[in-house]
This record gives sequence, structure tokens and C-alpha cells, in this order.
Amino acid sequence: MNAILDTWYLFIRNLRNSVRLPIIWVMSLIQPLIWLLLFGQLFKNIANVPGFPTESYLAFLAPGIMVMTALFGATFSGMGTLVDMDLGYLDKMLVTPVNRNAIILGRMGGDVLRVVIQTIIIVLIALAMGVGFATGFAGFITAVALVALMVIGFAGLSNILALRIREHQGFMMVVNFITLPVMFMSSALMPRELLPNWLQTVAHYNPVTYAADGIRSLMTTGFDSILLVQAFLVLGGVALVMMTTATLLFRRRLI
Amino acid sequence: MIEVEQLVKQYNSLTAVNGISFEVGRGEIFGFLGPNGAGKTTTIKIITTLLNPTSGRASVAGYDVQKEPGKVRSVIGYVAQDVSVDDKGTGRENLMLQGRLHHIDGKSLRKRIDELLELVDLTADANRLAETYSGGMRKRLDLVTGLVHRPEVLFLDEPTLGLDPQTRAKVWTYLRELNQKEGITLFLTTHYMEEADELCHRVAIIDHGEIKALDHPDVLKDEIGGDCINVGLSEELFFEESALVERAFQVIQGQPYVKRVETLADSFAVYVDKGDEIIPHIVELLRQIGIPVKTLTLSRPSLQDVFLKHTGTTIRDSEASSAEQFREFHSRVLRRRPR
Repeated sequence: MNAILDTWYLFIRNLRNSVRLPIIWVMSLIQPLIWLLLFGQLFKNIANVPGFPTESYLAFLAPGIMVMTALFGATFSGMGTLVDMDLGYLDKMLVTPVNRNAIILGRMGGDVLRVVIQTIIIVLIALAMGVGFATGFAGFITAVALVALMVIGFAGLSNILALRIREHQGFMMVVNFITLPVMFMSSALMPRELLPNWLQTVAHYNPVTYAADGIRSLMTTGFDSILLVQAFLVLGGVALVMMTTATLLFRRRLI
Repeated sequence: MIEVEQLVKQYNSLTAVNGISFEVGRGEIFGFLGPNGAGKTTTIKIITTLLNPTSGRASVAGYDVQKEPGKVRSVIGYVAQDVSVDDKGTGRENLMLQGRLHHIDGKSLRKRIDELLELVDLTADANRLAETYSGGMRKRLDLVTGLVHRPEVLFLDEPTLGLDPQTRAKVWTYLRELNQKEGITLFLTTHYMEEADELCHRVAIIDHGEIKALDHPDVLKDEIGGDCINVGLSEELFFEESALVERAFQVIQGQPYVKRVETLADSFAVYVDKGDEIIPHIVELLRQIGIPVKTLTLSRPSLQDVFLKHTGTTIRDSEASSAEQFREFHSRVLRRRPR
């Protein structure tokens, strides 16, 4: 019971602090918006290529940008852990009888909710730009669930990196090194069929592909049960593994 | 209240703590005095369950820090060397979260927080974000976040490091009050001599991971050996009547109760056991010789002298900034007032 309450209090603290730092919200929304507008224009004519799955590139891109927002936001999560470590705030929590798992779960929980909300805002903007949502509200909720699983997975990865690197600059470099390739080597910006062979193989093992394909089918075609089951299994599996590893690593690093 | 036995902490080849043993009684103010890198913080982190020792054991209120860390955490408060408050939280929110993590129920928590805010004069600023606080306010907030759950022992790592003299004096007042009114045992580390001297009932001198001496500050100072009477004469006398001065020197040195005399620029430093009783004799001697005494001060040895005796060095100079050294020096001079 205490574990749940502890997680709740730390979750609230994280969320409250992020609300009081509006720059995080502004920047993490402006960046994907710029990409949405820029890429939407830049690759507009790709939609004319025979075999391109959607009518306009924007319709294809919107789910990709959602996934990108989720990816960039989630991989930032470890930063908060590092800040708490550096400022001694982690020690301050650790000398209380607080449940140890609650510290890392509260941190990730707040970050996950924040990023999911940001992603929803991006969808709403895309809708306002004329992008449709083929499966309606039920599909929207399903898409949000996929995004949440993906964010949990990558927030877990980010915390694992933070706990292993334990230093800001190194952490940021590794995160930057990882996020862009992870995004480009997926179906977020380009249909899998149009990728070179070797990239198709990489994309096949990239969880971002499953999030992008799942959400894209929900937005453009309809409920594709095979695709969705695959997406939920892959993203759920990654989320479970990353979160467990991050929690275990956190406990092991404590003393 | 605190028992530490043969505590050792090694980091690869570096031995930070090398076989430390001591006990701290309930209600005591106990201090660790030593330079940076002496092993103070490492010891405090082991006792507060933040670090595991390489060997040895430590317990707080009867709970072993490694076997029952949860129980230890519920009876201790810890204020780290660097202020760590949640800048994006208000003063009150900082205290609330700390209380929640100690599983205190809402009603008694709110009452306790009002009390603590009052104690450190932060009531008026309780609902402002901590990032808008001054350095001193942040320090005070940090101090009371360690007290929300009414700990039996409060651990303070360098509680006044980098504070201005007024804030430092205030922190000392709060700490004394906590000790007296709430009966909290205080364990603090410091590299300020005056802090150890002013606050602590007992002081352990620690250097290179070992305790070199441990006792009441006055006892430690008495071991150095007696008092110093500084007899100031006029400068002209020193220059013009050197024969007379030389004779006075001989006479004073010849007294059975005098251990040692040194001639300084325009004064004698006379080392004796009970300075207050000797002063009249010295004055009388000089009057008989015909030398007027211009100033007269009696000083006791400082902890600086104690530290020097036990470690062979002063608190390493390179580590104290020149401003700190100046304060240190200044306070020593000020304390040499006549009784």
C-alpha cells in the first residue's frame, strides 16, 4: 500500500514540476510541429510515387510525427533522474523509508503522462490541419494506448542509460546519438516498402516501426487486428522489459 | 543512540574510512571535525544508510544500518552538505512531500509543518517557490525538511558551509533549540573550528579516515596545556629600554609556575596552567621591576591548536578560502579577551 502511495506522491511531484517549467512543454511541442510542417512540404511529392500507401504525405506523416514526439519526450526521462542525483535530492528521498521502486516509477509515471498528453496535442493539431482519423474515437484511444506503451519502453531505456552513464553531458550525447537513427530507421517517415532492403531489416526490429504502423492504420485505413496485436505485443514486451530493467538497475545502484 | 564499531570504507585503492569506532549518547550534540576528504561525509552516509561499509558495523537507536535500514530511516533526519530542495516546489510543498514519504497522515503533518516554518521564520514565504528563496532561506528550508517526522537523530553534513556569519549564527541557534526543546540528538560534521567549539558537547578529530582524538572541546584544549597570558608593553620601551625588558623576561621565566615565555613584537606570551590566578602575580612582578603594562589578555588554546597537536597539520590551508581563513583567524583573535 505504501509503495502505491509513495509512487503517487512522487508522480504528482514530477508532474507538478513539469507544469511549472512551461519551456519543456513549449519546446517539445514546437519541435514536432516544425517537422510536421517542414517534412510535410519537403516530401509532399513522394505521395505521387506508385505504391505510396496514403493519398497525401501529410496523412502518412502525422502518425510518424506522433511517434516522434513520443520518442523524443520519452528518451528525455533519464535527465530528471540525473538532476535529482546531482542536486542530492535523490539522497534526500533515500534517507526516508520511501519504497525504493516508487522513486523510479514515480519519475517515469510523470514523464509518461506528460509525453502522452503532448502526443495527443500533436494529433489534435494534425486533425485541425485536415488529417482524418479513420477509426474514430475508439481508434484514437487505441492509438493513445500504443503511444503510452512506447513511451514507457523508451522512458525505461532512458533511465537505464542515465543510471549507467550517471553524467549529464554523456547522457545527452548518447540520447541524441540514439534517437535520430531510431526514428529514421523505422517506418515513421517513409513506408517500409520504399526503404532500401537493409533498412527494411533494421526497421523490422525497431519497436518504433510497430507504433508507427499501428497508429497509421488506425488513422488511415481502419482496425487491422493482426497489425494491432503485433504492435501491442512488441511495444508491451519492450515496455515491460525496459521498466523492469530500469527498476532493478536503480535498486542495484543505490548502495 | 549511535554506535559505530571498526567502520571501514574502501573505494578501490582509496581508504576513505579506516576503522572508526565511537558512540553518541541520546540528546548529545556530537561533532566530527576534520578537513575535506577526511572521511566525514563517507561516515555520515554509512550511518544514514546511503552507503554500505566495506567492513565494521553501525547502528542507530539499536537498529543495524545494514540489517534494518528501514527502521533506521524512520528515526533519522539527514541534511546534506549541499542544499537540496525541490526548486519547483513551494516551501510548504517541499515539507509536505518529505512528510508523505515518511507516511505521516495529513492532519498532523500540516500542523507539524506550520511549527517548522515558524521555527525557521519561513511562514510568510511558505507558499512561494523555493527557487525564489535567498541562499539562507533555502538552507533553512533544507534544515527543517530533515525534521518533519520528528527524528530522534539529525545528521548534518557541514551545516553552515558557505553561509554568511549572520545566517551561520542563526543556524546555530536553531540547532541548539532543537537539541534542547525537542531533545534531538545531533550528529554534525564540520571543518570549522568555531562551529565544533560552539555547538558540540563532544568532538572527534578526524583525519585520513581515522579518529585522532575524541572528547569535550574544553578537555581537548586542556590537554594542549594551559593558558597563554599576553602581556603587552609599549613599543618605545622595547626599543629604548631593552635591558629592562630583558630583565623582565628573565624574572618571568624564573617563576616556578611559568612553563614558557616567548618575546613577540611588543609583548610577552607567557604560558601557564591557570592563567586567571597567575595574572595578578605577573602584573605585580612587572610593577616591581618598573615596567608599565599596556595591555593584558588571557587566551585558552583553540581547537585549531588541538587539531595541530593530533594531526601535525592545520586544517589544510588549501581547502579553506582566504575569506574563511580570515574569519577563522578573526574569531580566534576575538576570543582572546581578558576574563
